Amino acid sequence: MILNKINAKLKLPSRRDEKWRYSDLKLLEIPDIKASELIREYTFLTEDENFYYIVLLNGKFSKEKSILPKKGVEISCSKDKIANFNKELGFEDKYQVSQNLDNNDHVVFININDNIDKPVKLIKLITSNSTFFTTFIRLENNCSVKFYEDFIQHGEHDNFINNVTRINLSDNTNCQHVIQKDFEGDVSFINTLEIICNAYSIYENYSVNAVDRSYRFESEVHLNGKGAKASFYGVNIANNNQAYDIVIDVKHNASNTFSNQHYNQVLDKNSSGSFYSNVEISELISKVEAHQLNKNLLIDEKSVVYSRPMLDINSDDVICSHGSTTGNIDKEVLYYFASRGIKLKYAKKLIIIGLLKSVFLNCKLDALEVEGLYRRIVNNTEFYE
Amino acid sequence: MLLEVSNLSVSANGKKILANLNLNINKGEVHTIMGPNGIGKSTLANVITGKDGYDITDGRIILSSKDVSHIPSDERARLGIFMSFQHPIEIPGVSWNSFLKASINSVRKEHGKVDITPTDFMKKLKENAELLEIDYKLLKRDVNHGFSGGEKKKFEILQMLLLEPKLVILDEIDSGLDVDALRIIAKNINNFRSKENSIIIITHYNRLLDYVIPDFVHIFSGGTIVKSGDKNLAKEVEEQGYDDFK
Repeated sequence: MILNKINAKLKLPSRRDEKWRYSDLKLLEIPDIKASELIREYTFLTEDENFYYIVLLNGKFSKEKSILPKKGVEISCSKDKIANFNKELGFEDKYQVSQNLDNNDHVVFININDNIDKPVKLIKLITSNSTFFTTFIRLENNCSVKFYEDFIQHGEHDNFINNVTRINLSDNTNCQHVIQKDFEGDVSFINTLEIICNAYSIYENYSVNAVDRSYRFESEVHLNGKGAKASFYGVNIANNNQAYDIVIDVKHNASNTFSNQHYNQVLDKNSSGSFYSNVEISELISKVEAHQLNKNLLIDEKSVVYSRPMLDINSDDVICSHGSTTGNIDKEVLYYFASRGIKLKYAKKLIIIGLLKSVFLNCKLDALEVEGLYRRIVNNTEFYE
Repeated sequence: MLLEVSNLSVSANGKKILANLNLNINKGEVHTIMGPNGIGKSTLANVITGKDGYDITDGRIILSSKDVSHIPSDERARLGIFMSFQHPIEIPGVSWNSFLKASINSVRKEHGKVDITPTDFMKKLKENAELLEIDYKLLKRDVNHGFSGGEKKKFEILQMLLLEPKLVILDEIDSGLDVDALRIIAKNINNFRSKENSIIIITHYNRLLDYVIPDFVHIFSGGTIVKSGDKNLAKEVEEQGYDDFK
């Protein structure tokens, strides 16, 4: 696997100037299973009536498998529309530089022009060794949507996923974005997310990362309109030679904007994790609030953490906080558990789960959805029992 | 005999802290250990509960005819030893609910019982919290996280009531308490006191002993018990200080 070898060489914190991540590297690999043959096995993915579904198979939009609301969602794969989208919305032209746009249905443009009454599952099914997804999402004025972006990888073999998502939030919009993964094999994943928030728009990102061999999440947020807000809540659980690399750049370009990032990590068995966050507050803007928090637990002696929550403040009228903690489980805490009869392994598990759950304590998701995130945390820490 | 500490000598980091200490406690008895700061009272509590970092160089600790000198602290707790901490630990992220349930079920499992049902747990928790006049909202928070000194001490006693241990060690339970909190805690200690359990109260002062009358008072000095007596010994200490007992 050429791509996994390339990815394995990426040292943390990774370089961030490669153009190739905007490219479809699929041609380097030979797909082993045709997605169309597998889709029958995956009918259950779209059975829950509490969701709408937009299904992408190995990067291509499947109209047949998608279940959309009667109004409010437009999907197109037109090269021209996407080029216009980039131009209109001020995204940099990185994508066009390197992406072969010959394959029209390979780049998916989702336009939301009404409130969507149910959450939308954006299912990204992966069956080949290497997959490239590009999804452009635009919310028109006054629209709200909740996206569950589900990456589902089939087959117990190595995979490389290269995902680029661009989201433009028009005025008075609200987008909750939950990233979920369900992998069977070893997956190296590079996830690039670019967001533009206009006036009074709210973007929230939630993720529980545990099943990747290596995962790089690189996000760039532009808070361009007055009152715009962007929040990121994530946990990384690595216990088997895994690497997590979280890079978030937030640019406060307007007054009364708000940003918040909270990532906690538990690293064990020679794993590594990094949290590089840079919040830039332009001069001549005011009433800006920005917070960064990263808490890390190192379970073994070989795991490492890189943490750098950085604030670049060029305005006087701001409320900002940033914090980072890294350490082992406190022996006094373990003794407290033991003194109440709780076995060491179970105590460790409770502490780990507690640290991870705390990320989602004050988030805006519904209680049931938070419970879903908690379940993912618990399911991925079972080995500590 | 519930607890038999015989000829116990303990060192930590090469320094001898306890020397040839003997202490026998029968079921139903309340013993008080008094002494100045840094003399080894808390070390004795830690050694009985099995905290790491101490070397037992001589002697042994017997609980209900079982030698517990070298078994892990969690196992000792399940056998019925409970200590209220002088400085209870804050554990952000871990709720009281999950902590207390795990704790109760660990003890129940040791006695061959099934896990407590959620309904029974909530009932027991509420009942005991009311006895301690604990605000119900605090039960929903994380373990001791952001609690005042008095609240932390009340939650130590709450855990004692929930776990129903055989041997309770109260390590300076009275420090940092206002008069009302001291009265409530003392009342619950007295209610808990029975013929089936024993209590060791470690304290500097006499004030808790005005509410909880001990059967025996021991003066600690030089890493061992230098004098034992009844409740009047505590009054003697209060009047004369510890200098006469060195």
